[in-house]
Amino acid sequence: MLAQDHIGKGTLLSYLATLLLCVAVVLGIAWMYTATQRGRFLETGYSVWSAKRSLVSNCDVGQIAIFGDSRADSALIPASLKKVVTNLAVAGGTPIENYFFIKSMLACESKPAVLMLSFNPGAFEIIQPWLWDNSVRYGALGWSELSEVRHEAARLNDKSYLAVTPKLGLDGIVRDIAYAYGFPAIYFDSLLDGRLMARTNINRQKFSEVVLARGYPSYGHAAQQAGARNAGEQTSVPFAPLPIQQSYFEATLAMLERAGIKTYFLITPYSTNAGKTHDQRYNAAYLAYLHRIDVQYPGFQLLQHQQPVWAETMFVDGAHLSQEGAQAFSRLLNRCIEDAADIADLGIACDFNQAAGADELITADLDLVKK
Amino acid sequence: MLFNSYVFIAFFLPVALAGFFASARYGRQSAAAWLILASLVFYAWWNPAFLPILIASILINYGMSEVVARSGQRPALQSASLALAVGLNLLALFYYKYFFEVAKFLTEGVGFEVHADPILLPLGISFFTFTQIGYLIDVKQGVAKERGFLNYVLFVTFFPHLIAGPILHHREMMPQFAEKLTYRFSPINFSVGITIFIMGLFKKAVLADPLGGDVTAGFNAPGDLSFYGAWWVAIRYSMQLYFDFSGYSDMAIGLACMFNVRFPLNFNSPFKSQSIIEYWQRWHMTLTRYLNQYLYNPMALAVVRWRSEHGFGTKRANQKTLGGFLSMTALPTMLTMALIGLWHGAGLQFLLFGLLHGAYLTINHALRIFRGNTSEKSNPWAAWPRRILNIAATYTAVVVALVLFRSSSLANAITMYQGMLGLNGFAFAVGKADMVWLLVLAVIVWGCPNVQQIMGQFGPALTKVEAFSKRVPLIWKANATWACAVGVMLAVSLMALGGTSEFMYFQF
Repeated sequence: MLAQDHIGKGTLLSYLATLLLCVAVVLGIAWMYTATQRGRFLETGYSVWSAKRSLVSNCDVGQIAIFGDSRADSALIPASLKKVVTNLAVAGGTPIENYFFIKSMLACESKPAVLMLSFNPGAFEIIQPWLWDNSVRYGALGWSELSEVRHEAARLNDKSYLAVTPKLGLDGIVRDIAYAYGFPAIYFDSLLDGRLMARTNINRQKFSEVVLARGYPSYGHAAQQAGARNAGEQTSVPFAPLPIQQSYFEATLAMLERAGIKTYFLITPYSTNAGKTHDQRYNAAYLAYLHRIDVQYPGFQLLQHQQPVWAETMFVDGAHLSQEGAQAFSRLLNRCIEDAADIADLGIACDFNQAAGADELITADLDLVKK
Repeated sequence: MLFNSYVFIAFFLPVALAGFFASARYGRQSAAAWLILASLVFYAWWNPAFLPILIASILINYGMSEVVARSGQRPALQSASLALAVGLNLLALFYYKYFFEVAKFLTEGVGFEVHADPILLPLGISFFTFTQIGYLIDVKQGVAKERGFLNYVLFVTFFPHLIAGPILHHREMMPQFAEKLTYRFSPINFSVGITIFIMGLFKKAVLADPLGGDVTAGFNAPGDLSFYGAWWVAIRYSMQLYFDFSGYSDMAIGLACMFNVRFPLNFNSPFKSQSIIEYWQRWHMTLTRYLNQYLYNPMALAVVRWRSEHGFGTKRANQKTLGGFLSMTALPTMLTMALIGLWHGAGLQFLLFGLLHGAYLTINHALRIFRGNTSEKSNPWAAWPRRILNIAATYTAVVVALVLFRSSSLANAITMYQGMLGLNGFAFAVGKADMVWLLVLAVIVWGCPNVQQIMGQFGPALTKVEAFSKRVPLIWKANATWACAVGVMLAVSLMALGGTSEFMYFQF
């Protein structure tokens, strides 16, 4: 090709240099803005996370701390419980993230007497892209945590970690660098949707609400979410926890034992429709795995021995409890707490599925669903 | 690999460029070999399983083209080998693109059971198959002069066009690959190329992709859309497709330009067209050119011969008779457009998309032939309103047809049309910001020069475009203002690449 070659080389070089300089300046400004002003444009999930993190960083977790995934996040209302409870479970949370969150909580002098963990079986089986899109993007985890996980995955020969592709579309170590160092592309959609700073007030409001509710963000009322029902997670394969998730789960339990904190595992309910998608052998394998851990770690106790299945009306989407459902579930836990002579002996007194009042809510157990 | 991915921009392109010009120091053949290797890596990146298909296609086609070329003295053998080669290409295309759908139709629609599993469509198979069929025909006609193997492979695999076009003609590419200057780094071509590439990237990542969410949701549940909702979704889709394809075409031209190669123009502000005939001269121009050359013209010629042999007239006056018009214009138009429709996909909705455009074109030809050109000369005062009206009518017709193009099934398309006719009510629920954004896009589409007009003085494409306006001084210069503007576009595009999405024409 022969373009009109009437522009000097020097002019072209300075054109290209200026172009690159402008790219650097714009990216630099965007980088600074996204690193320091996330509350102005990120979705409200960010303020929920920030509120929970602020409770941990202020060492204000109370007597019972709840960690886990979004189902735990939606299921327990600290204000409905008789003790000072903090719900620190997060959307998309798996044992990996929760290990680091619990670790930072244990750095406080005042520690909770009891810790409650709750994960759906799927949290053990995959590494969610949310590890990057939420935990790292929201600033809860950084390069050192990601490096630690990457090395642990390599030690366990677990290839799943490197293969995960979050929203940015990258995988492997490049993905970790981009997320850990806050490459502005990971915020672009939110910058657009949040019109650069249009979410400032709503995030402030949400932050205060969640701090005030000791970590509980309402998932809404069932009636409002009628159109949003889904069947929850599909479980057609045998339960197969990833080595990396098992490793972090057990590391968490060991860390809590060393800290002298009693740990209970709660299984949150599924709706009847969602329960139908669950393979019985899958659930049995999941419970067997938790029982094995129960036996292995004296400081750990499984509170239930079956998967609770509740009426559809208690949920916003088949897997997450509505505010009414959360109140009901919290009431059940409250009865366990009330029955316990000592808060650390909660599990001795509490047979969660048989707790008074449970019959009216538990519409079917797994066997019934399968039949 | 996608042009709009970090791995392409940050790794593949710099390595491919540096390797090309570095290896050119050791001769043209080594540079061509490097570029072929890079193109094969580019192709295999997403799914290496497709690479053997591409290589087999190239080897078989090249082998057959040599048989065709060397059997010039034996016309029967030459015709037979050409028919065999074209047949093999079409068979492969049919197998990968249509077999499953046809089997499904026979099993579910007709009750004739044909077992078929879904077949993964090799990337760009329509493009490299069409390119090679064109080459075979030209070899038969003695048009293809340069037949070296290396240049042929480079012509087929050159990565800027490999996956989604433009559909190249060997006559415009082979001489460029044979040209010494192609292998010497040119700062001006690089600067022009990278500028065009960035403009294309911006169109794709910033203008097209954000429109996709509402479009997907709307076409997935067309029954939920009111009159305004359905039109809103259809118009948004037209804009998404426009900027997606326009962006891709710019990126392809820009990339080629960086390698000192010029591509034919594939996209020239089609929404500014004043008629459907003009629209097809501006939209996917190389496909239109290809089908004109290898399908429409031979068909029209065959009709003319038939008419001539049977005593029917073939002159312009005969075209004005109903029979003449139907046989010489309408028939080849409808057949060509039906095939264009099917080229885009196997569903009935694609066939109807082609036929609808065929009908548009036929009506457009009929008006041109029977009514004559009545326009601006007779009433110059009416020129602008008439132009605006023509553009609006053409665009509306295009949007209506695009519903078929985007719908996942004919039933969904019909539901969408029901919404557009107001059969699902007239509720209006469009946000102000979305409306402003669409207005901005409309200004870019109808009120701004296109990239080729902005960069036209440097001849980045083989096709020249008309100047936008002498009064609008939006002409690229290698100065600080343009560098900053393009730099901002690149920076914003790089940020927008998160969650990279495929170009829409990759699926064809």
